[in-house]
Amino acid sequence: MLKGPRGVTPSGVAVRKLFQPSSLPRGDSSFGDRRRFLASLGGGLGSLALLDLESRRAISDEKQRGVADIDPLQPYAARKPHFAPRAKSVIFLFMVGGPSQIDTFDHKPALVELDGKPVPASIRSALEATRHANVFHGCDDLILKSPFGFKQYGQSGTWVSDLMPHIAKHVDDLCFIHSMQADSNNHAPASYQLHTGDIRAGKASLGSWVTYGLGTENSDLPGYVVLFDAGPLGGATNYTNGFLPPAFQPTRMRDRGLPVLDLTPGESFASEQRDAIDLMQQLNRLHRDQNPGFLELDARIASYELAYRMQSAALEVGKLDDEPKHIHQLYGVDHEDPRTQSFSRKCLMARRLVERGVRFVQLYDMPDKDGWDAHDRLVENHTPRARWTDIGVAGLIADLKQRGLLDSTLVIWASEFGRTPMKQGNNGRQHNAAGFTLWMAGGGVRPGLHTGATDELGLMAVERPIQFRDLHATILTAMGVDYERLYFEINGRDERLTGVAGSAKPLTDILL
Amino acid sequence: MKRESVRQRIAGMLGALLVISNAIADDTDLGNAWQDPRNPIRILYRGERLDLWSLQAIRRPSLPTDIDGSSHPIDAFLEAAWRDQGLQASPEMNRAEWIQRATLDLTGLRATHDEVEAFVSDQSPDAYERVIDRLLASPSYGEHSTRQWLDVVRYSDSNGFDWDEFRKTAWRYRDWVVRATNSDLPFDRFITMQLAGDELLDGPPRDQREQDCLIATGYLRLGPYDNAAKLFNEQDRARVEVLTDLTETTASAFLGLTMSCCRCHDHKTDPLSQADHYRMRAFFAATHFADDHSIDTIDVQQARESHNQRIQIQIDSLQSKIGTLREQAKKLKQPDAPGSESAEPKDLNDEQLRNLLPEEDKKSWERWGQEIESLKEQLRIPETGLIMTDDPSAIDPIHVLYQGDHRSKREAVEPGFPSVLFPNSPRIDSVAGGKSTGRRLALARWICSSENPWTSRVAVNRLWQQLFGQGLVATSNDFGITGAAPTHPELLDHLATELIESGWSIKTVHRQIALSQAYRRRAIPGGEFVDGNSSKRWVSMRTNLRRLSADQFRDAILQVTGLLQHRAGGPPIWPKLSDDILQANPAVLDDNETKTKGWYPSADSDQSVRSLYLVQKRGLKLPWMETFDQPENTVSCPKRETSIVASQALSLMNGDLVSQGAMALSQSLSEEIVDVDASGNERFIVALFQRVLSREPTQQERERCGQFLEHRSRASLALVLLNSNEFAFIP
Repeated sequence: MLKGPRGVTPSGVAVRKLFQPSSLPRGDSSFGDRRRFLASLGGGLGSLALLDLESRRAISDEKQRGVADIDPLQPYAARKPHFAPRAKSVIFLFMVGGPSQIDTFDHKPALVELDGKPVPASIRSALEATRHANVFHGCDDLILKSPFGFKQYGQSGTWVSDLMPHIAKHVDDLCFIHSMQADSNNHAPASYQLHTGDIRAGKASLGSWVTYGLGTENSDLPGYVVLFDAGPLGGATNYTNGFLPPAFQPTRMRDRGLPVLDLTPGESFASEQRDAIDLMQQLNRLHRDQNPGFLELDARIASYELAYRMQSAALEVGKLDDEPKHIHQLYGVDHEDPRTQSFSRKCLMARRLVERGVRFVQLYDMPDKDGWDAHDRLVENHTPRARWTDIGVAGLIADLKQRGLLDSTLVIWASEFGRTPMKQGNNGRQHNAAGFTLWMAGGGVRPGLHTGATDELGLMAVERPIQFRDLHATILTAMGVDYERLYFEINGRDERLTGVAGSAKPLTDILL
Repeated sequence: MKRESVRQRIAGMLGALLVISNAIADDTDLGNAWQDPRNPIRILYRGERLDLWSLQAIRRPSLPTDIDGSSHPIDAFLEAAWRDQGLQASPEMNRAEWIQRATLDLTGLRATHDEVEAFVSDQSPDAYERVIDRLLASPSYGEHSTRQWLDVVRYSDSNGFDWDEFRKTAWRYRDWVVRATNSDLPFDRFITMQLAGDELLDGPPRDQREQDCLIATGYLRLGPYDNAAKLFNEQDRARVEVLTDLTETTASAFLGLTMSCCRCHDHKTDPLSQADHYRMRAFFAATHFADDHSIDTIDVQQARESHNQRIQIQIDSLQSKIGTLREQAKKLKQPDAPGSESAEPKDLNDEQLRNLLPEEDKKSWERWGQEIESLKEQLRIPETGLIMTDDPSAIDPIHVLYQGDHRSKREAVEPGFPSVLFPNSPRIDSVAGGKSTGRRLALARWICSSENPWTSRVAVNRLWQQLFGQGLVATSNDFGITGAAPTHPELLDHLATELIESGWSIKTVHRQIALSQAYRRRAIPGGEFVDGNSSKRWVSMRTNLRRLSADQFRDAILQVTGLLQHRAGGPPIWPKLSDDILQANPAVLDDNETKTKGWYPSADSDQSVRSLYLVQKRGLKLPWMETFDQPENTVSCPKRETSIVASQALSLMNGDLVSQGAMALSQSLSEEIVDVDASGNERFIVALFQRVLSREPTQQERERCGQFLEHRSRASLALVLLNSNEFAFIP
């Protein structure tokens, strides 16, 4: 049953449709359905008691379904993981454009000495022997030391640059991976790979996989939420449901105004909406009597009640102003810089969402069209971006922790790649897919840990290189999902987030 | 399980080596895998995997003899199968439901109340035939069928990736598909033009038919393209992705073969080797983008050239007059005293020189300059398209790639068809006087040849799917072992034969399917229903009620509210979107000089066209389309899946499209009603049901809607019907 999408109809046809009644347990071809169906064929049996949706729900709730075993009437219903989960929710903080690891969390004192000098031949030839040789493309063969100061923080003695003073206070809660690698040195392909496991466009994103596998804990809110001012480089293809059933596409929410598009009725309809829905459902039930047994009709009737509830649930979750002043301060919601406010509001929104059982929140820090893409003038690019995001991220960690939510919420801070220690343009840095840093916190990840390392320049991962598929396997493992058993058959292949080759290796040693 | 797959992979790699060495050694006269022990696939899989149904040749099956001779052939096959299994065909639906089903399935639009009434009261024996013939002849048929095909060939108006540049001429391909479907272009020709239309021509196109041959090669250009890759020295990767896309999409769209599975290793289940993937890829090895090539017909081109020549002569003559004045001015400058500070005449620009001349000459120069500028604007530039061509001097050497990685090249391969059936190297003749390799034409001819067991089956299965919601083979892009087997193999082969024998006429096959008794039967949930009391088992090929697709839903709302605009193709319409929506793709915020990265909303008056004509970018989806499950348009989509989720209800209750439609509709219907007494509401209800649901309301519905209107607005009632399940589902 774990195979999810593959059911078999009586005629032997493999089922891929979400709303295929035969993918329900066989016991569900209930008496009521049969009578209604016969009535419709014969026309003479008159009106019969309808099998109400509520009783249907009772039937399907008797036993919680397993991973990816989707109830067509409730595609978002929470599903039982393969094994005990460490994390119930994920907040993925995506820093768009490639923040520099050697100017944030990967301290390389050797750069000071080598500043203005070419890359040492041994390091250069080591890189050139790999698939990452093109990282040299477009930058000068001159080392640029970090213009930012570094200090050690916490019991773990973690080095953090002056860009991130707030996050620095929480380093003992964070788990750093310093040896990430991506398969492309360009934004969109690398970003697609971090989201979907493939540098090519069109595969399903992490958030879609997780909600497809596990559903969500609050059916009045979307299970997979995306928050941004401007989306990531490469656009909507990053967070798409790809080949997964469309029910697992993300919903974009907003931290100001109406949280969800078309959430409330227009003026002329607002006061009449409840009556309109009631009439609609009466007509829909009459129509269902003529077409008994089609669960898609019941599903649609149910979707209007859910939408009605979502209107108030989504409005409620968007009421950031109801939070007390000290919480606003903690996140930087009251910061003087409007871009800091904007990102901080999203971090606060993310907490409110997971608090209410939302499974996956994907948050982008993109305030404009550039992101952390500092080909020129690193200082001028990174300094404001750090100011816009540092306090919100730190506030989120602190708040989750004080509410006891951090244990069950996996927070990930990552980007599609890092930057070179070599200079590009006017004191900027080129993309670097050969070695960069990300960190995770909570959700069963060991705090205060560092794993993997780049060479002495911070150029290439030399100790325990980690690929995105390994990261994906780790995230799924933390959520109680066997990444090899979470798949979807399409075009003759069992597609997995971690790829079809079976080469992903979860970092089980960083999990508690 | 894991160990086995490793072993399989190693065996596969060895097998691939073996395949190639064999193929090279015995290049000439290998037989298919059933006949010839030397066939590489037979060796690779030790004679297994060869019983796959879709490998077997298509033969016209004889009609079941013990069925009532007057049966439609489709029903004869179905009923024979059902009778053997003790199944009872589902009852016929009523005429009103049938015409609604047929109209939505064939044209994507709803049957109007008048159309339903006319058909219901038509007692002539050919009433059904005339409806289907009318629908097949309607331009909307081509539009709706085109939408199905565009999904299969991953149509988009943009590149995707970082910049997601707008493809200004992709629409020509879309319009060609509409023309081709409406004119019932033979499907073999339809295939050949897309793969190798350019190779059918020996020079510039002579007429629109030949021009279409160029436009059709847009098929080869529709895949995503990472235009930024070269900046990071990753152009090899981008090129390989194009070739991968062409191989996989061509295999999926025309052949139902899953070539994506054997890109990295031998196929895990089907009789295809990794080498087969690269042999097919090699047909595309010489392809190059030709977006800047003229697609003008010869007469347009000649007219353009002579026009431009005439203009050029005028420009030249004006320029020579200006030249004379320029020389005069330079001479005026000559007498400058030596040692003066002023510049040499050769260093002066035109404006400075002009100022040296007498006022009259200066004015003439200026006037001629302006005339030249306006003449230049009259120069005609060639029309271009999103097209592909071959460069025979730059053929990529194609290698098997270890694990599909373009940096890990293994053995070189030559073009070839799947070696299970066609192990020998095909004959390829260069075409157009050596201007093109002829590789793609050879591929196209093979795909359309009658020895190929896949093409016509795959094609008719898609036609069946369009009408029944599910193909006879449920996995319409996968005719392999992990795909679904045909529920009725003889029927599939019957239709495949009909397609070929009709001269590949799509409309002939669609007509046949639409006129079957099977298409008139009521849907049965899941396709089969067992009545426990009588042990009767009801069956229907229509297994669900399909929710309208994103396109159908929007179009139907525009249609019944009277807002739909008919449009005869052309560049796409850009909906007006808020900044908040546009920010989903940062590239849009960063428009460029060539105007390909931004968002360019069309006029208000053009917004209500059919959804087919709305711009379809990869990096930014239209909210309505996204909410209603438009598929990812980067890879071939065999069939649209539908979800039923709360965000759709929000969009339908609260979104602009429906609320504005409901207002417009209630207003226009109210204007038609003389609203003098209490019966006004009654008449409104009847008119509204006729308009939205194409039928009269029942007594119960009249009463409930009447009670609603006692306190609530007519616009709200219109909104209710536009939200109703009856409107949302195809019967």
